[in-house]
Amino acid sequence: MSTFDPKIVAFCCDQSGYPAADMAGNLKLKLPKNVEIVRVPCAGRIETIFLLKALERGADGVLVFACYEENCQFLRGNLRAKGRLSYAHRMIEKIGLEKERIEICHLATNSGAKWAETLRRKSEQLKKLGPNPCVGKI
Amino acid sequence: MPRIGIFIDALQGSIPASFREKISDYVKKLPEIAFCLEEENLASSDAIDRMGKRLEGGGFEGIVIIGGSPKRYESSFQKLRHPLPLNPYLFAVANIREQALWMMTEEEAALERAKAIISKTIRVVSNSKPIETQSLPLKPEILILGGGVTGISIAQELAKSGIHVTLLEKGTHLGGKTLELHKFYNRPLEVQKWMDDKISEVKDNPQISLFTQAELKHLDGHLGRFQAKIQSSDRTETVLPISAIVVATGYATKRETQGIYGHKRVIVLSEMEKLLSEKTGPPLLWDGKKIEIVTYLLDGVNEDIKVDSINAVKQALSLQEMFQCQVVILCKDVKVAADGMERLYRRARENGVFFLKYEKAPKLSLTNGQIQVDVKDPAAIQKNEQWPVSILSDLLVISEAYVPIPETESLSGLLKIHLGNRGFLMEDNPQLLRVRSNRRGIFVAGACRFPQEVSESLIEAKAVAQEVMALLSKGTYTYDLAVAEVDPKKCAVCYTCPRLCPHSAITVEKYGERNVYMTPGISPEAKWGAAKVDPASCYGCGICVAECPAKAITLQHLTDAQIYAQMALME
Repeated sequence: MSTFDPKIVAFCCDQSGYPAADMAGNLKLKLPKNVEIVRVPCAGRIETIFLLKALERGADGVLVFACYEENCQFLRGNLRAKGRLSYAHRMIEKIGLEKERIEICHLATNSGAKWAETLRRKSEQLKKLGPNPCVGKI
Repeated sequence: MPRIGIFIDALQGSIPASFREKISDYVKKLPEIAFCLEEENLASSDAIDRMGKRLEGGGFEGIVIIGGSPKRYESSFQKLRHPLPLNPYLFAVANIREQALWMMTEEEAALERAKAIISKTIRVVSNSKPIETQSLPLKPEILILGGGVTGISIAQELAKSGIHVTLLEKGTHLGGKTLELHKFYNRPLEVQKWMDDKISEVKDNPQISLFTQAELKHLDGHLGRFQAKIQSSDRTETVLPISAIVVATGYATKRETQGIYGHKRVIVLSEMEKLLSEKTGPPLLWDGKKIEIVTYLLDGVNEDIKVDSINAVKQALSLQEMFQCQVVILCKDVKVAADGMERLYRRARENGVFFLKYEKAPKLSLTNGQIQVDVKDPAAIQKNEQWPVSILSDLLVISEAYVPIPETESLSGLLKIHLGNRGFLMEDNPQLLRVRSNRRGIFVAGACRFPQEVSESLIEAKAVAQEVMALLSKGTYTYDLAVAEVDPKKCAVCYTCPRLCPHSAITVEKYGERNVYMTPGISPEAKWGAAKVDPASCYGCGICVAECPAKAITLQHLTDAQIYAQMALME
């Protein structure tokens, strides 16, 4: 089990999550190996199906990096994302998956450290949860 | 298989040469590669020149830049305004510096990560299409709602630069709340005369058409193609084609009249302003009695608005200097965050105006026809040493609550712009875009956004005038079609997207083509309604795309296929 390196899909909002990722790189903060960064113009672009498809296609966890509430460039994009996330939570719980596999994290442009810390914490958490049982079964 | 050209950027040596070599070895083995070039600093102008020459050669369908953050290239390409001979949407950036080299502890892992990032970026580019640029003609026609000091100043500025202005005022005369003022706090001008000059200038200007006792009834269209239906005083309706709208409707006030606040010796700041304008020397009379002590009680209703503080200090100085009254100002905080207010406050202290702070609301009572104010002075740190202060005054001046005008809510529905705190109109971004509303082509200015001083409104009026001129001066508005687009065949007209769009860019319009959702009894020739995104007003956030239940909307510059490619998972 020691070789298990969870695969995380990290959706990054172009207004906050992506600059934070850049900043984390600039600060040379170390990251778990298996992170795929997806750049979206706003967290509101992230559909429920993306979250579910990511799990279906082999990701062990999904993280959404969005702006703080009431701080969205597009007013309510981050709240829409949050709503879709709770919808996805209900669905994956029904099929017996842990809802911790999908999580939203609110941050600002200058939260590079928080960005890296969240990914590290998520990676540790997923290591405890074990690999995604859906992979190859759907 | 589309062929991809690759540029490897060394970012002035921050990607080491050994690492770059391994990357270029890997890239050259990929089957899709058309060419692979290395540059020392790709964001510099001579590197862009070389890049342009290579791009003219052709033989590829997309370009991947291997280097640092995409934000870096986007901003520098834009800054250099370099017309690269390739559609900007066929570029993609593989960010191997921030996301691989700097985030991994071992070089081996960094190389693996970099390879994964490059291969997924190549798949993103393979899935992208060129996106065209469109332009929209803009006529120099502007509608200003509200004939207060802000609206008048904007109209004057715009008329000077040859823009035709339609100024709408709901009342019978121009000027608004500024006419209630007697003096400015920071300028030695007579407000009435200054306003009269301004108003007559607006009335005589041939570039400004003035409608008084008129209101906006309906608004259709988007930026550049607004159709405003205006009802004038004689109940005739006219439809005006306009390019942009400025909302400067101002504020209203509400006075507390309960209990002692209804007493005739309790007045509001604007009444005091009027009283001061009527006389030029002592004695100052109110209700047939000479006034000697005046108390101001501030921060009762508008705790975070500085206009009251400014007016109170200004009036206190007049009362002390011209009428030899004794003035006491009771407040939670003296707000001096305005140009020249510190100086004015110091002058008031030197002239003998008492400033008292309070924490708990003072007790008001009547004593021999005078108003008695009991307050604890919290200047002493120890609670038991705080002295009770009692002031007997001839006049108590209180502040009125600033509220949005009663039409604000219906106006926001009509213009489809957002309301913010306390029901005032909201700007797009309080720090950066203070005079823009959430809709492109609609601006908000003055006290309809937040109650403020006349001098601040004048600055805001200038800002709006500049924004409007910048928008209209070219005669066209050019935009990329990197926006959401609705497929009318799939749209079920569920009204989800018009409700969600943060910039009100979506409306339901008639299309010539037929909708797939057929209702029996309607002939196939009938025009079908479907949602339509106005490309000039869309900001490309993708909220509607994600929410559409029929998946009828696509985001042109970030399709689902491109997002799945970025996830780099198995199909």
